[in-house]
Amino acid sequence: MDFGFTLNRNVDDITAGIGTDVLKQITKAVQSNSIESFYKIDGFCNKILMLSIENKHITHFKEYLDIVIGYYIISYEYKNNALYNKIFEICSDRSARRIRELFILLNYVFNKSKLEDKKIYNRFKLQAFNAFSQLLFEQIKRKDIQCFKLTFNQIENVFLGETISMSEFDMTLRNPAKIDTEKLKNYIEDIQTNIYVKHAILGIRYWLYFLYGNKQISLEDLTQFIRLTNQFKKRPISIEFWEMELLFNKLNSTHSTRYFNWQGWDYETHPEGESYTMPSVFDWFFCGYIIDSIQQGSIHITPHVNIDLIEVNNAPQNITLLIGTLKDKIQKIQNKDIWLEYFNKIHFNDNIKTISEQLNQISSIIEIKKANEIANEKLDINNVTEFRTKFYERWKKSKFIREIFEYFDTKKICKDKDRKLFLIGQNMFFEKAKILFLGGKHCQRIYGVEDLGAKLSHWEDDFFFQTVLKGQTEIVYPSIITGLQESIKNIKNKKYTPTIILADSTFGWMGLKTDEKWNDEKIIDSSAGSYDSIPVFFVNAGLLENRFIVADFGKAFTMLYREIENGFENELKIDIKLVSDIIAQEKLNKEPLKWKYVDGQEISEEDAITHIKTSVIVDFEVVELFEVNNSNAFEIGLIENIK
Amino acid sequence: MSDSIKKEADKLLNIENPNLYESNKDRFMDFINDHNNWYIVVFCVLFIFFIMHLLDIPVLNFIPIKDDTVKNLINSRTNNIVTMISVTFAIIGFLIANLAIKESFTYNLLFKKSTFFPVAFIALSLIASFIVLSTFSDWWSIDYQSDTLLVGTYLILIVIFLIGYLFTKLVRFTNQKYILDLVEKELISESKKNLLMIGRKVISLNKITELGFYQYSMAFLIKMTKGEFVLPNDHNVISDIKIKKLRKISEKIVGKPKVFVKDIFLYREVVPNSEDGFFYLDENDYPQLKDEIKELNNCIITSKKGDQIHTEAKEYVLQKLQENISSNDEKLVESYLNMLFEMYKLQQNFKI
Repeated sequence: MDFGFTLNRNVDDITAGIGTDVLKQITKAVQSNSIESFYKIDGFCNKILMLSIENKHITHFKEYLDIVIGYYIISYEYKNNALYNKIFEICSDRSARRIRELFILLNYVFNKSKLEDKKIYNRFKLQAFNAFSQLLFEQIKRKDIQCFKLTFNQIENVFLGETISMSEFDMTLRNPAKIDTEKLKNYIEDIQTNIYVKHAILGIRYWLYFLYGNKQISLEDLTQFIRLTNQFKKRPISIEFWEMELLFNKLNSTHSTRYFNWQGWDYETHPEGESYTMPSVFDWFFCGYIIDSIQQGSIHITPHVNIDLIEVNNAPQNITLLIGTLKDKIQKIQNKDIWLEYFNKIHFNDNIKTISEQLNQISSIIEIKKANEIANEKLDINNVTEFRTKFYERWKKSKFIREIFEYFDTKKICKDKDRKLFLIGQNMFFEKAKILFLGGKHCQRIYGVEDLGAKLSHWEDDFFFQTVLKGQTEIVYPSIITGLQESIKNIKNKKYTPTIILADSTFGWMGLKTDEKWNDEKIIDSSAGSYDSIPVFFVNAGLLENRFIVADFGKAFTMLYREIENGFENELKIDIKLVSDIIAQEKLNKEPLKWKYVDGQEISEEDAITHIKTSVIVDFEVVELFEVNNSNAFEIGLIENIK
Repeated sequence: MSDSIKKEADKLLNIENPNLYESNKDRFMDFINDHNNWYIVVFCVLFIFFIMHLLDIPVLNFIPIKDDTVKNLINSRTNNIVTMISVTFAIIGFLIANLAIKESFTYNLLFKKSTFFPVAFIALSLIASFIVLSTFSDWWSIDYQSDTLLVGTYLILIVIFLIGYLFTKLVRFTNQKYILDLVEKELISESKKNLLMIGRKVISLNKITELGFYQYSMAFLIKMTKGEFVLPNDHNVISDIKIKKLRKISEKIVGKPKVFVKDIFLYREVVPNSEDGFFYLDENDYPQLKDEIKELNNCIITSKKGDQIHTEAKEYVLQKLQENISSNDEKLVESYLNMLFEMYKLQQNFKI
């Protein structure tokens, strides 16, 4: 049997294994055409189902619902044999009827219960609708339109004298302030049945579309089945956008990956040895939604419905993901001829255009709403501190020239206020980056921003090399070895002791490391080795390309820096500033096109300003100056003709 | 109170599920109906026959027996009882041959529920006693023999009643409905016993988890040791756990190096000579906690053969169900399904 029965095999349950036997007995009863025995087994299953509701035992309930679906699946095998006609009819009828009859007890106990118990009974109802949907799925698989119709009728009969319209609920959600929370919670539990049945039917409809899209059923089959699901209790089924949003949240949360068993639906057995992926529910379900919407001409949108009232654990990015998914589906449908055939080309392109615009509108509204929330939220001090610390750590880790100055102890504080030092750093306008520093639900990580710290260090290195290269003439040498030997000799002749060699990193593999004077021993920790007992550093800076510097470092250079209050190591300043109205206005004037359109929709000036205010200004700087004390104490060499 | 997780678990289970425990009478009947306990019945009969009358209970001593008739009487009583028992066994054989449902499971039930074994043991040990008495008649005093004869005669009368009772019981076994009732009772009693075992197992597992040890895994990268612990030879199941002692030790080692546990719960099967330890720790920490590990391991009591989950009755019912569906006997199908339903009821009302 290809149906995945969820049978109880828990070793801590004394009834484990009985379900498997009951299925075998059903098969036996059908095989021996014993209608009476089947009735007895059916009675037994019914008793277990009722007992499980009474004792709130969902495992047994699920197990026996599956067995009830098994009535249909088992007896279908004998459908084409005239001898078994009667028992097949009885089995397939009982299958749907049994599930429907559970609702009599379920509704009775549900209506008597308090909120906590209502939640539990809703889980049972969900399972029962799941069984219905599974039964319909099996009937589609067998293209059994007769039984499909019968099952659908039974679902309708669950709602005898009731309606599944959500309009009243829509109204309530629009004015949540008017009812108290307790009442609202009860109301939400009451409405779940309507949500479940809708999902069960939509799941089936969209699955049919998916089968057609993948050429698993013909156009005639599709129209036949779809026609049966077009109406529920003689009324068309309408789907609001917020319902889809809610469903998307449910499917995208980790808790309910098996909602309606949709994730497990597949239309063929896995071919052996071939790579194959199961259809994803996000693929087919929302594709079906778009097809339904194209048919209706537009998406139904009820404004001002706050779905957070129903589902507390909503991730704010889900709605963006949903819109992304839907847009993606529109494109896929547009490119497939099979859908043109289905829609008969009537209004196909126009409707698609309308729906795309609607989606753009929704996403721009959401963007603005989100921007508004972000713009008004205060920065989270912990996140700001964390960013600053990480920035500082990166800066500290990648500092190079500073470390050498610190090693030779030639870094000096500049107390002379009139002395002009240089400010190295940036006042950076960081677009849409405020979310980095928020504490609430909008908080998001952007990885790698702390690398700005490393960038600052490199700027400092460049600044140093600039200063040095400006202060000395370069001497051209034919090779690095001759250059170094000459320079060391020259400096020594001037009565200085060379204490450092800074060389372009390419020299490493251009003969320097193979020279006899090279030694891998590190005199200074961060150096690469030494040449002629002088520590060598390889530098990767553009300014030092093909060049090297030999210096009596302590005597040749000094570094001056200004103390910064509350800065890291008293030197590094990092500030996160909000974008003020004035700056936002300036930005808008400068780049109106960039800020005035969200998802292709033009927004008001006020919204644009809000949008800009989701950015922050990251201000980081050090104030310093490198000085050349003595140009005799160092030499710069340039190697030409590098091969 | 002794230190046993079994008892602690039983206490908890009894509060939530008092219906699972059998009454004292049932337990007594089960005990004497078990043919493995034959020696107790035999001992009782011998004790009453040869020793009880030394206590001299005047009420029973009202029948005077002349010294010269004692030996004759002993011989004729011995003959009486031997004849009686042979006839009885012949009748029992006939009844058993006419059982309503002839299957090994129902035969087992018959022997279990009909008091056949205790009655047979009493009768046989009585025969043996009379034979011994008549053999030693020239050796023992006449007074002693006459007292013994009197007790023996009372016992014969009791045995006659017991045989009558056994007949009435056996006759009922020719009735199918009675057997079905017994099967249902057996299934429920089996289920109850199984539920109790499951309950004890789950509770023991929870209690051990509460102690806060870390879970051992074979996939650890550090080298773990179980110390010098060796499972006693042939032991293959955890039969009890000294939980109070375990609690005490676990409180003592808080803050010390991590101790890991590996699946400790009641009725867990253990395989000797393989990964059979219960407590593990990092090899480097071992010297520090050598004694504690030994003590911890001593808290786990293992044995050769523990209680087991029984499924004979369940399997029998499922098998009968299938047979009756094949033969289209829907009445019996319903009876057997009802039995299974009772099982579901028990399971769903079971609370831990």
